[in-house]
Amino acid sequence: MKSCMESQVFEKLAKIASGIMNPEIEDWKKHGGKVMGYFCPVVPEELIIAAGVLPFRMRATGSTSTSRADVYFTDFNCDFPRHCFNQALLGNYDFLDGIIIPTCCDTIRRLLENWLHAGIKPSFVYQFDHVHASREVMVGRERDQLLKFKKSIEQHFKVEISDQSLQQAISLCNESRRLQQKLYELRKMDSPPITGSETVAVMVASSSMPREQYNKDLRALLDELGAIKSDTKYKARLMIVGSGHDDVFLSGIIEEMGAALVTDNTCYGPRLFVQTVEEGGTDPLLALAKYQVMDTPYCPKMMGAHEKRLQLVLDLARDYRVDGIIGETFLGCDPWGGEVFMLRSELKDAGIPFISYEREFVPSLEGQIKTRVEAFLEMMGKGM
Amino acid sequence: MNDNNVFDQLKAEISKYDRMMLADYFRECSQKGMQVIAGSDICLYEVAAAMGLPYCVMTTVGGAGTQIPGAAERIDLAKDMEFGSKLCTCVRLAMYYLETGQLPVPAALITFNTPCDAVTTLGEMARNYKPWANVPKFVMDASYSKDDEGMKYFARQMKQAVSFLEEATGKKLDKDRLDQVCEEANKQCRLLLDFQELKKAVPCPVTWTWARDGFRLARWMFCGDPWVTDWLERLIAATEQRVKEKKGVDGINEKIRYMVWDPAMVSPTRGDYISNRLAKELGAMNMMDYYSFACWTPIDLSSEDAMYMSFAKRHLNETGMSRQAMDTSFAFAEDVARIARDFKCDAIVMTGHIGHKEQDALHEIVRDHCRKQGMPLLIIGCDIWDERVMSLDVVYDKIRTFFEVSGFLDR
Repeated sequence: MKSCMESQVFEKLAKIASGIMNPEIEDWKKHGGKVMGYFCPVVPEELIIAAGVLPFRMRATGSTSTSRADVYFTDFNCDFPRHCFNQALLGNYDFLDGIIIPTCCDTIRRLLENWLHAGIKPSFVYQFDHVHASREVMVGRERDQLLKFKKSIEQHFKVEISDQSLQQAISLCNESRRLQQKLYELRKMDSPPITGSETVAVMVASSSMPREQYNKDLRALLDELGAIKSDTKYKARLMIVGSGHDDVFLSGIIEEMGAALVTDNTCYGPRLFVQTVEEGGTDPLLALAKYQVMDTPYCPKMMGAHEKRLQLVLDLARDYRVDGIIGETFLGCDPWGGEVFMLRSELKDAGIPFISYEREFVPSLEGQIKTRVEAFLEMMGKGM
Repeated sequence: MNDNNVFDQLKAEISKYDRMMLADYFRECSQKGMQVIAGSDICLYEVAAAMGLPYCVMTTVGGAGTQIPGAAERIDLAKDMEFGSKLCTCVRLAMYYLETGQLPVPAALITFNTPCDAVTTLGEMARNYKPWANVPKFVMDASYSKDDEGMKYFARQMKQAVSFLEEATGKKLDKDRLDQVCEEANKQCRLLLDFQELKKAVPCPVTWTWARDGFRLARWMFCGDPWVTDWLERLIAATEQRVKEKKGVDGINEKIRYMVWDPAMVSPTRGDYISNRLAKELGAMNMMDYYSFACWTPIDLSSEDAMYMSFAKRHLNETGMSRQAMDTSFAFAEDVARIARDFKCDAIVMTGHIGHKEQDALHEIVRDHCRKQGMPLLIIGCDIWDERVMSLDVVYDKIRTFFEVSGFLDR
């Protein structure tokens, strides 16, 4: 599926998503702003924003090697954190004033100790030991952990995060969620005005720039997209399910093969916006805790929530009229390995064609994956 | 009776229990009408023992499946099921046993996130395994912070898990019986520690397997059972005698003392082969592994809350692999160096098992710590459950070469 979009706003967001440092961060820093890196959406950006700090979701866009990080990790570790760590060792994250490393998986969790051991900037490194099971009784524990996290930011950055500022940050992020939902809604159309690859760029940009500006840009983009009359033809409507790929490797292949990537359930996809954080309550920390533990347990490391994750996949497949789903996981990611195994039989039961493959962070085996996508399309009777 | 006969007798008494780790054993329990409970890993063994519930520890069943005839074929079949190509082979086999219906339908299932992501994933798979749809399930979340709050958080869940077990099985936990089990477990804990102390003697009086066997009996298979106490007492008496006589293991001229900081050598078939060969051919004694290095805090029976706190601490801090996987790399490195000193080791071997993502991510910190301590360290990088990835002879050769270049073979 080809893009029919010519938009300066999109070009700006795509540029932000295509590298680590970008003009928005440069401008923020130039004005004395602080930037805090964080891994995974289990870390609530709202707390960082409420402290007046710019959250930056860690990624290794453009990285081609793990040679330095390989001193600290082995090939059996997922290479996404290894690439990130390599970037850190190269000094490409030196613009950060702090970094939050959650206990979301074994390899990412260990980044903290290696970060400290290697003496990489910044000096503020915090481990967010969040809850790993979706049970109502655990919401209180998550709130306690968020409170510790909040105090730690307040102490380090010498700021106060008031309930009011946190409520404002929640509203700001909810606004992003609603706008992103609208963006995805467009992809439900018979002929979506934005491609899957383009959508990935817009989603990735959200956690790499000031949120107010992102919302403004996304609103402008939505206006432009609303005016596009697309009549693009495609062979099939596909969906990707898997871990947090911040590149357009698979979406690019899908589109090159003449299919449309109409939705996804990845760490940069709908799981970021299908729910909003409760606003207007008396305890914003509790609202964030409930959001993480009960409303969005979409990372397979969250125990006791596979049914919810499956339901999200089925709902997305239905709402976006998906013909087939491709599972894409990083080599060495145990939680997603198990999740994809379970989905395989569950999607078969639901009558939804499904294939899966494992990949390295740096795109490789392109020819092989093209062949598999092509075979998948043919299997669904959509090959010609 | 000479002391070799005593050790032979002790070994004979326990060898028949190896099958208690097999899937077949739990199926037989179920076929006999016993209620079997299942867990993604070892947890709440004292409670299971007090309630008289056979405990199907899925990871242990998986590990055992790599050590019995047909292992290679079984591993290949499990790989074909595509659980993830870099998954730990032990967990992969546990998933295989589950998904091929070789585990009995349990009366209750408890899953948790210790010790690693692979086991967490196994738990999720078990929770969603269709033939177990009607099995009552309970999930526990362990904190990675080892502070008091983190321990209390897990202790509270353990207490809830016991209520869950009572409801699921219809069996009431007899508090007096639990106290008995815990008191006996505390005695056994003391004995295991005494035994470790004796092992520090030069020359080392026993082979490495005894601590492993003691741990398996006391902590899991027969937790709190008085015959294990008796068995441990006889083991200690025989070992003590050897220490008094300054006697090492028969036929071994001890020249090198090393420790294996991994569960690799726990595997009876592979570990025994490599350790025995190193001992016989090079006089190298395996002093400690991290399954044997466990269980040193007695269960506090002063109140119910104190007891559950002890259970939580034991589970998170004092169970082989939970301690190593859940705590920080710095704590791991500290353990390695301190234990090596305590046991007068010349060197440390880490297998670098390819399934241990959390340990694959701490090598540099351990290397650096050992370097500063002047302690030679070898990290191999093999699959401890599948010798086709790296054969036992290659593993042996790597360790031998390591000893050679460290100058230990010239002694």
